[in-house]
Amino acid sequence: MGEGPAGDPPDLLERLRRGDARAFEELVIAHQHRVFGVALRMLGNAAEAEDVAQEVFLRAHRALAGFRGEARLSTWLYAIASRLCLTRLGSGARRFSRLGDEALAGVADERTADPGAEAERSELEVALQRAIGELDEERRIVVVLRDLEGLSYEEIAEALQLPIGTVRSRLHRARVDLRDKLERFSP
Amino acid sequence: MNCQDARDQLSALLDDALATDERGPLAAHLGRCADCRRELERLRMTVTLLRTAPSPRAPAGFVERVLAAARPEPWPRRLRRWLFVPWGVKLPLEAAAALLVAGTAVYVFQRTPALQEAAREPATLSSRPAPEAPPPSPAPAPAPPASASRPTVAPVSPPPSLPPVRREAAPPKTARVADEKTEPKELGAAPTDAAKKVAPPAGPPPVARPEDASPLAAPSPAPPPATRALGAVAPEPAAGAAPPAGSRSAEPRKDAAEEATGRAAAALRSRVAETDVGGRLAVRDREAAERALTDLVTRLGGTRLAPVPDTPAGVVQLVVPRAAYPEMAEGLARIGRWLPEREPAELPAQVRVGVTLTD
Repeated sequence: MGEGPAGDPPDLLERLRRGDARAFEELVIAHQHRVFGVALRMLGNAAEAEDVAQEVFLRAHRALAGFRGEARLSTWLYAIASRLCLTRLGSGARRFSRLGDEALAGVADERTADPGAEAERSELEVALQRAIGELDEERRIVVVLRDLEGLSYEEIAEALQLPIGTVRSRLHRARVDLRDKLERFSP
Repeated sequence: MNCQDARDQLSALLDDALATDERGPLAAHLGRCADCRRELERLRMTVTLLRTAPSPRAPAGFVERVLAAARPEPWPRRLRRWLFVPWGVKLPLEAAAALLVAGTAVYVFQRTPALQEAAREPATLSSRPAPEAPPPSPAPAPAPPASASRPTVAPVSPPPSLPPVRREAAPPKTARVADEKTEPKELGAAPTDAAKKVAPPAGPPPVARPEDASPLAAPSPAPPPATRALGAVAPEPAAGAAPPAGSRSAEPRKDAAEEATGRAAAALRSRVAETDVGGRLAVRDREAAERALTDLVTRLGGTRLAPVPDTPAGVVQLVVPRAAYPEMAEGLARIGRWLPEREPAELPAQVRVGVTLTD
């Protein structure tokens, strides 16, 4: 979806920089789930997540003219999303532990399953979101980007403007924290 | 390598993110340390669990909402377009504005007892002094209808007495309403005029008014000097007059603007209930003077008009035949100090004279 193996197609970048509305639409379509996903995992509720996600794209829209393409579009969007989420969380130093179903309101698993597995997965999802929510946000963002969004250490370092060593240690801490809480679900 | 150091690197190992020189030592430790191997496995399962978590999907309509929010242009452009609307919208708007002004006039009228009083006065207003302003009445008539028309409401100068004010009610009102409707563009000024109405007015040459009022003028009998009528008007009566005349002037309004300025005086006179001649008569004894006036006018074959209810004391309206006017003037001069403030160059067959008695 607009991103080849080597990066973003140059013509898309050019169109975006030019202010091509269609190109922007393609961008939003291609990355909406990623951006929303980060926001949802970080903020814990779908309404706020959509709010932030929309803001991410609007900011991107405003900054497109100056986007030089040094980073991939997705990395760039993750960077904006991370920054916005951390800012929003930072103002309240929020920890959300009791998310329950609300947190999963925006989560629509496209996998079909039998009821039993479905229930199991639901329980896991609830526990997962809760556990993630209990993490310190600096660790939370790293594990979300790495294990939920699949970014490489380098991409995370770039998105968060952190040294790789810091990414690594925070990620490890996050995983260790989560392990204790989710161990009972392990296969 | 101790266990703590080893465990700190387990995540990197899982992610294949170890530096080259880190791999060897860690591998060696893990080979020796079952506890650390167990830790590695626990960590691996956690990561696997995380990776199987459902991927959130953006809610339906998200893209549309983003695109809609990303369109900053439209509203300013839309606003601009709205401001310069096409004729189809402009005219109704102006009509609405006209109604607004008229409505305001009604409101003011209803709020001002004096206005209502003035309105109650019959159309055929007995001539009243209404002096001040431009002495040479009718002759003028040139006045630019457009500009002058608007200020009809704005009184020229404070009327010497109430009567003039009241009398003005008829013509000014029609003129004013006409103006409002004929000159939509000037509606903007209408509110200002309204303001002027209440403020002490400087008054544009009343002259113009006749023109405007003429076609519209309420069919009041007496031919009053247009100028005087308009000039003397105080704000209130004018305002009060507007509503009543509104309907009447509705049609002729268009004519007002197109009327040749020359049409003026004569036409107006015939339509507007006004005095042709107005002036002050300074006397020592008002009662005696009034009696003398009555005698004079009777002798000359004229009549003294019955005072109207709200005619302030001291104003007498007389009607004499044109031929007798000179003698009339002479007679007035004998009764007291006669100061005509308005005398048209051309007198009608029946000259209506408004005499304001003063001390």
